Amino acid sequence: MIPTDERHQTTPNGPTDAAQGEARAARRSAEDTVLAISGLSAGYGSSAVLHGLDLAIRKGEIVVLLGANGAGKTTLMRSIVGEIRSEGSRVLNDERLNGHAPAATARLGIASVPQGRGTFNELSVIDNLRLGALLLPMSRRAAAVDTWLSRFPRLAERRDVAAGVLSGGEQQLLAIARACVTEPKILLCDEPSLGLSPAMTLQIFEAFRELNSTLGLSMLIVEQSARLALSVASYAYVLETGRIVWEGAPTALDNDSSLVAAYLGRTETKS
Amino acid sequence: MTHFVEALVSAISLGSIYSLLAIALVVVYRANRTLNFAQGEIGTFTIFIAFSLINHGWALGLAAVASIAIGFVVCAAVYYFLVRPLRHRPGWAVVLIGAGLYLGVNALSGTIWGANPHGFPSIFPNAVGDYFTIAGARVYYYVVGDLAALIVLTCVVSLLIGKTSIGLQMRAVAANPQSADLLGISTARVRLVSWGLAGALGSIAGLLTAPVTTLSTQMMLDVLLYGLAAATLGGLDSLKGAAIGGIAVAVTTTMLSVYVSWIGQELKEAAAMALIVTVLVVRPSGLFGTAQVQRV
Repeated sequence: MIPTDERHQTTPNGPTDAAQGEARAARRSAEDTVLAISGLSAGYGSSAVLHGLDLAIRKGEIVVLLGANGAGKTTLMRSIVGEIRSEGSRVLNDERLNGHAPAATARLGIASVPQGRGTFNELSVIDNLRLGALLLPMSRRAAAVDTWLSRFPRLAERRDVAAGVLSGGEQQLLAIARACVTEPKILLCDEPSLGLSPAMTLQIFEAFRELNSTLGLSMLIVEQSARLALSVASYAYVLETGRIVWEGAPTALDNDSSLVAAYLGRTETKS
Repeated sequence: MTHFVEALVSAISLGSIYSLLAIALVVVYRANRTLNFAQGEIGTFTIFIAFSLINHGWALGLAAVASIAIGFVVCAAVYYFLVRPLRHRPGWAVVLIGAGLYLGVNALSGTIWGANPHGFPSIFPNAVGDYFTIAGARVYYYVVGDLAALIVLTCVVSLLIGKTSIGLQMRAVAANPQSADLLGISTARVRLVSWGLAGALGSIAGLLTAPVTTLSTQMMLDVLLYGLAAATLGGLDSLKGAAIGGIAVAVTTTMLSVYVSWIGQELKEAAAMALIVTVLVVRPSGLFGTAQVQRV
């Protein structure tokens, strides 16, 4: 089925709308799809924010979700983990997530780094990681914490420091490491660059690229700093006022001048 | 000097009980950011049950353990059946539950066991001759026992929270419940255990109070008030603060009433509360509380 909102989308690479729609439906039902979302609608009280979204994240993919403030990006992230109620279906590796509370979706394998990082500020770095490790069998917890400390030497140096006194970038690294300790099937990350310096943002995305290439970790990243996000992504969605208005390979986005103007900045248009 | 030591010793004994109840209040506060005003009354209720068990021929130790276990179960049940269903409601809804339970449990105890006070045996030796002397002052064994109970239990609860897996989860829920949820931690289970733990501590406070004041429906009123003051003074979310706060409140009120003649017995509570308010004006997060400061 072709969702109605795809009528807006451009077809830079030639094929007809119908063919593209089929390709996208196939993407959602592909065998290696980790997270498939279809017809997802959600909102707060009586005001709807999301209107029937279809998304898919396949194994080993970094998928980036772009969108302006108020487009519904955070609402989507919160709907996926079950923090707010939503309609439509959410399927993680053949397992339906509908009706599960956040703790239950976490146990099923969705690790989420919320906007603002959500670190436990009064707890030490290592205790933050230990909390993530609680989802693992008892015998593997300590080793998992050590592994992630050694993967992020910056955190290892400050392992006994309260998370609240780390820099914003270090807190973001900690939040990512803590999410990864749980050995998730997919990592959701909401605006990791928020409040970080450009240099630190670069490091965060470098970490994403590395996690993806060494561990094959699937990710859904919501971002406003689109250039950088797209540089690590293998697939992208553009969200506008609660609807997906474009999806495709990041390189294809460059061919759409209106999207480039809106999300990547005019001056950066590729020649 | 003798007079001073005797006053100090009796204050420490009282303070240990205030501290234990304050710790119970803090454990609940850390779990739910709310106060359980019925903490003392539930404690009294469980001591009445122990009283009945003793009358049925149970040994004191066994009855004491039973009352502690019942305190755990009752408070865990209060959380599960009364507090948890209100989790999407504003915090004062839970405070109202606590106030309602205070009156309800108090009336229930009165209905079952009557309004007259009953004698209750002490876990620690408290006969007339059970004392030793320091600087000529009599130090009763039960006073040492009360303080030892406070120290041991503070250590046990601190170790539980600081070193165990459930304790780590309790700290996570205290620091950031939303994030705890996102990590797959069952916040409901953590809160259930916290309320139960508080209930057990409330019963222990009752076990230490009853032999001193006699067992009655009114026995925990003072303990709750001073326990609240102690918890607030200590910073509401700090175990150490609650432990030190209870002793500090008791020593302050006792010394003010003994040594400042115009305060005496009548004004000692008011004077102690004035001191606490002063401390909170200078340090709004209490002596040991976590300051609500966040890096952005």
